[in-house]
Amino acid sequence: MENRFNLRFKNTYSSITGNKYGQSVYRDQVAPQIDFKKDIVIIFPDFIEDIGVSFIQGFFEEIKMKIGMYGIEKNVEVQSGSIKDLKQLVLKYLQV
Amino acid sequence: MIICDKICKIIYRKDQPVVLDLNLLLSQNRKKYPYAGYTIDKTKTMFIYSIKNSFFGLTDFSDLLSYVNFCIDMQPFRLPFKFILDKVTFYDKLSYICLELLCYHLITIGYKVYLDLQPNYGIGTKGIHSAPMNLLNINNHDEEKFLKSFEFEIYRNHYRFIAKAESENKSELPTRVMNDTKLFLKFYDGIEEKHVRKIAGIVAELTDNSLEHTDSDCLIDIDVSEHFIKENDPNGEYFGINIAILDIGKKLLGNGIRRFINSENNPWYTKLKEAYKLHSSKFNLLYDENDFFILSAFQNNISSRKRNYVTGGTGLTSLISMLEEDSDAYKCYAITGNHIVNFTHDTLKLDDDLWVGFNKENDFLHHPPDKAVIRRSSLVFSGTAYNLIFVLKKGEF
Repeated sequence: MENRFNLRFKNTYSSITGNKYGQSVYRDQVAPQIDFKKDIVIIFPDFIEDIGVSFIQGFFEEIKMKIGMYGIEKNVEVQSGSIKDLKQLVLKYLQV
Repeated sequence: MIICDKICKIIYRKDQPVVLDLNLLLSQNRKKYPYAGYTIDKTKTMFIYSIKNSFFGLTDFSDLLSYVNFCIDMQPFRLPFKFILDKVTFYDKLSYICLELLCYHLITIGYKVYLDLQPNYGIGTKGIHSAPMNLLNINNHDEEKFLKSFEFEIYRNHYRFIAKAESENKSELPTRVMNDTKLFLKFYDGIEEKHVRKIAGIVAELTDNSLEHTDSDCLIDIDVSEHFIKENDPNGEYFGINIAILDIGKKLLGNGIRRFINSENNPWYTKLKEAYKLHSSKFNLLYDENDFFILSAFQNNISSRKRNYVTGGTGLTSLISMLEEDSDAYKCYAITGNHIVNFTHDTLKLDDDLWVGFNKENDFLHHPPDKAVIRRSSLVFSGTAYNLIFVLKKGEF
């Protein structure tokens, strides 16, 4: 069993960034339902072509605090129809 | 230009005043009144500042501020200012943006401003021809248009946007800037997609940093200079992507980091503390504690954000470094207070922790920065400003 989150953004954006924006998207669309005991799947819409490092850092801040980098590597899936190897990009941006 | 119009309608909202503490910029640059070349005209109806056949850089801007301070203090009546810059070569983009800031501020505090600009230009400063301050030229003076264009413009080769700190959608502003920048640069055939994305990323990250760490608005200005060739590559065509990003206020780069250096439960600040111990033994007039914390602000996982000690840091320097690999980047620097950090290609390599050495050893932990990285400025810039010039070869598709 997993929690799946299909993230929603304004379709006028093809790129997203910003630490506070990442935090607010997490807070509004993920935090109320997330169960850290289950696998987590984060899905970005296909019209998002670019994600800035600060958005990733803001969005994953609480997830990283709860389950650490090891938990993210093992239990979090990040998907996008437009961005290749998004999970690797996320890990790179969250590197310790 | 339909896409530009669409951006204008989506982004432009003139419902909040611009928050750039330009009074602070003036007050922090009071020096001895420079006598040479600066006058009040014979009828005593105008303050005239005139230079000719000269360079104009941040030092000269500092002199100009000193002159303006003197005029404001000395003369109770608001005489108009006239700035004559004949065959003047602006040293870089930030130099003329600063002049434009001063013009904007003087107008907002009730002065009339006239310019007589006949500038020389190079690849990094050709953007002056599209700058809003041309609307203050004595031949086609339009103050109202200048004030509008100062806050927001997409015109010819020029993009200007002020990300407002008091905006209701403040958290989304870096995203808007990123999308704007991509759309703006995509107009130019020959700027490769990968460069468009990298540049948009840099501009957005700097905007995010500014809005995150200061109470100021953030001014973003980008221009594209086209059709330049190099002496050693006469068949190649080059673009200059010229970027200035700034905020003005009391907060300087690196200020907030000092208080976290004794954080014991964070390995990154432990590393920074180790670096501080070594660097502090080498502090001198040309490299001091303030410089150390300014350089620290660029290090991965170092941030003055209270919450983000787990995922802090800007990611900025890796972006700049990536772009420098593909471009002839030059005159890339940041100024905060009277401290300047030069971004030079051979000192921006990342170590295994993604920390920038700022030295040829590529080792911030054990070695101070190279002498070319840190310098002092005559201008005290209250806030932080970036001047980035990237020269890119036109892509062949």
